[in-house]
Amino acid sequence: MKRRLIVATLLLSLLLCGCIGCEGTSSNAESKPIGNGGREIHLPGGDWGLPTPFTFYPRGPGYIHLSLVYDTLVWKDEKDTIPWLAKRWECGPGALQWTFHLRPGVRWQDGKPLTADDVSFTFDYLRRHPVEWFSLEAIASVEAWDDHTVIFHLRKPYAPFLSQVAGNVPIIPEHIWKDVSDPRSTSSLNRLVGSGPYRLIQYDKAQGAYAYTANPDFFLKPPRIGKILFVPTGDPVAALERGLVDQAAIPASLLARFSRRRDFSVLSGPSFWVLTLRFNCVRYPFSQRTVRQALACAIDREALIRHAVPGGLQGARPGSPGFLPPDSNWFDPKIQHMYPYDSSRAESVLRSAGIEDRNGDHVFEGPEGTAMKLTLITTPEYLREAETLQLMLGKIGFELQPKAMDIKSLDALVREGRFDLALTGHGGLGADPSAIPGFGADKRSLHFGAPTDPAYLALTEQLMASSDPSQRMKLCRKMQHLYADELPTLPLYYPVRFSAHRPQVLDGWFYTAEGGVGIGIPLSYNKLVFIRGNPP
Amino acid sequence: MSSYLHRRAATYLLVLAVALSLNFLLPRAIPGNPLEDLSSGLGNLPIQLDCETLEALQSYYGLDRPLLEQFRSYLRGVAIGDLGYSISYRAPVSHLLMDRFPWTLLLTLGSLFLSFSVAVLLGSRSARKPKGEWKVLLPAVLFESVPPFVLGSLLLILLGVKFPLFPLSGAYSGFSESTGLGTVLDVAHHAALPMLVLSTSSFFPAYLVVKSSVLMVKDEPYVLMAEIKGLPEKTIRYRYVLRTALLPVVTFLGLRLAYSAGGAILVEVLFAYPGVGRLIYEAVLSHDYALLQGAFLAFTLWVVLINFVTDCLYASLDPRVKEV
Repeated sequence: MKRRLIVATLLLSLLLCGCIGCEGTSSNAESKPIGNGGREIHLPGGDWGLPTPFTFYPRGPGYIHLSLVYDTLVWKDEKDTIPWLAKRWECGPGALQWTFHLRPGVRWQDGKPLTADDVSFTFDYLRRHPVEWFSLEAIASVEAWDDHTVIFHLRKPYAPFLSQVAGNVPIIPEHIWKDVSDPRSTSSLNRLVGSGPYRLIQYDKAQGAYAYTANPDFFLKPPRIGKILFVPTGDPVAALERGLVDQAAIPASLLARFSRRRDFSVLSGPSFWVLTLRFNCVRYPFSQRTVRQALACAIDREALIRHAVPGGLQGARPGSPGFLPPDSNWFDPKIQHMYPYDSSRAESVLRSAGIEDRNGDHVFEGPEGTAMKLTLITTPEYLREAETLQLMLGKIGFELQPKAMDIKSLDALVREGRFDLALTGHGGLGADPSAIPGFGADKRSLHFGAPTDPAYLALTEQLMASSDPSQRMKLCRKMQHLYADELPTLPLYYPVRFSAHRPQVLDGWFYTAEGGVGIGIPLSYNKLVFIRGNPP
Repeated sequence: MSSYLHRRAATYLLVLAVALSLNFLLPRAIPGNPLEDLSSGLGNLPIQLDCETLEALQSYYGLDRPLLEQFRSYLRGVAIGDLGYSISYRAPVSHLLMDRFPWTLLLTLGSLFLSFSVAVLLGSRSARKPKGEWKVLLPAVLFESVPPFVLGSLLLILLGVKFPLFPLSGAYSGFSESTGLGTVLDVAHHAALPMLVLSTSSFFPAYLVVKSSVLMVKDEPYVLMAEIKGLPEKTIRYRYVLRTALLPVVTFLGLRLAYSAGGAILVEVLFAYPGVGRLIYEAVLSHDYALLQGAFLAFTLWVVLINFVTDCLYASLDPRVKEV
């Protein structure tokens, strides 16, 4: 009797909680019109910091939140860079001066007018209180010429100025920030006054929940989506299935499942992300360029995509030895097939470098008897790719031992040069080519394995300084050829990004041009989507 | 009694001193540092951090000072309750811990209460009536052998997605306007699944401890004497047997309580529960020195405090301990 009572009590408690919970799990199959005539949308949350330029977490989603409240001088839509706070702009002689003409009548969310002084203040203030996301190294000074004209004087020509600075740095109001001595310690929502399409009305740091409401005085037009709620979700796909959110990124393995459903639409786009096999070019045998090239011939990159993660890499493109992905406007298609899969060619190239099986143990040795037993460091999520590489390279006498570790440890080993081969990836491939990590001229590129050849470095400098599109294209192609010849890293594949959404709530989703939002965030949360609402 | 407690207190102070040093050194022993993590970002969208910005940030966070000076500053901060500023969360560490600790406490205390209550009831019953024990043992062994994150994932899919009875994540409904009892029920509703997962992992050992302890006590001569005297069965069962049998259970509860916060990490991550465990997980990923130091210190204090309380309880329950 007592046992039954206990069981019944437990069951009753569970059911009670369950039933109460049913109230809170409202499905958003139809978007709800809200007070101001706009519509409400639920998106996967997560804590990305208070969206001010000084307190947002310097990661993609953090910047997305920031962009809802603050505006930049220019912005990007699905095709190109478009006027935003600046209605037009010019690049001066020698590319050392950029002039921006501000749109008249723009107001801050507290009603005060936005002027050129605010733009000038933003850059001065950011120089005094640097933020890791905004690189202002190229700027010598910013001058407010009149109320609506701002002139940027550069230290040296900086080709990616529009994407890295004008389209990235949020303009902040001088009257709010001028007396703030430590902006990083800001925690008050009252200081969140931007000119952007949304105002933050609620932020729950612990849960990672945000509530934004439309700014009716936004300079373009009042946003069609009246309220954006970023709600806490452990697994965004489960939350999407359950109707707690209206859009979420989905893995390629679930593509078929969501494509079949009538209540969902699926969007796909380039991830501008690459998985690379990084060679340690200062350690034997990869100090020899021919060995790196031989390995490129021994790796069947298309088979890697098919077999390493069955179904998980749907739509992924095989890596190009010139580094840039086929989705990039700067891609040179001639390079794509420079190292076709041919293990016998790989073996003959290795033999010419003095590497062959000398003792019949199926492991190749160098001229001095060094066995090709090497470590391949990677992170746990790419272990299957590492094992596939182990099999492929095993056929040409390279015995790889995959070793998984966390990304920070791998990063440190690569930085210190304590590795043979590293299997890792990074994003940002859709940016201006001079600013692509691992390809362009910035100092970080060396960390990502860009070639150190003087001819290549000279080309990167020219690319950084040139503003002529046709000349830049020629430079980019030359760089890709040099890269493919030098082959400091071998790009293995470029995955595709997928997301699913409920079209009846919002159907205007797109992936942003030139690599993504801001400096190249490949998410579909461009604020234009919410401003435009559903297409007519 | 007091000299025993003084000795224990001195031991714990020594433990704290060692823990403080380790808390400072261990995060710095991980390859990389918080700013390198931001700027290099292998695996992410890398940020181009220029030298000027890097120097300014190092100076702002005190990472440019010699290690010994950083250690002194850390100790000074701990002495006045200032645990530093989290680089990754852009907030004072003490505020973050204060925000998150109650949620971890709710999960761990709730799950231990649940598992130990059921363990005491079923364990003492099994000791008296071993027949049909398999009905308890079978599910207990099954749940004990399934890792908590696997069980949690299964429950999430089953009761969160297929039959949406429970929330998928969080500690309460976002943007909810409920107050009073509504809030309490909302919190209970969100805590139900993570609490259930945590309790399954501690139920089986607690059940075994209770059962073996009751088995040892129930045949003691004083219990036999009570039966001969004709005392009611309930009085014998609860006042004579269970009360004495609870001594090892209290010790075991103390141990579980001390380490339960650490065990909650995976469950908090899985259910996106805003507790300290999830905070530590994210702090490790981002190499956030100040947050790691603060969170480890909080855990150390928690373990030391629980051990000290257990020692005190044990000493009062069993006077022989004081003489050791």
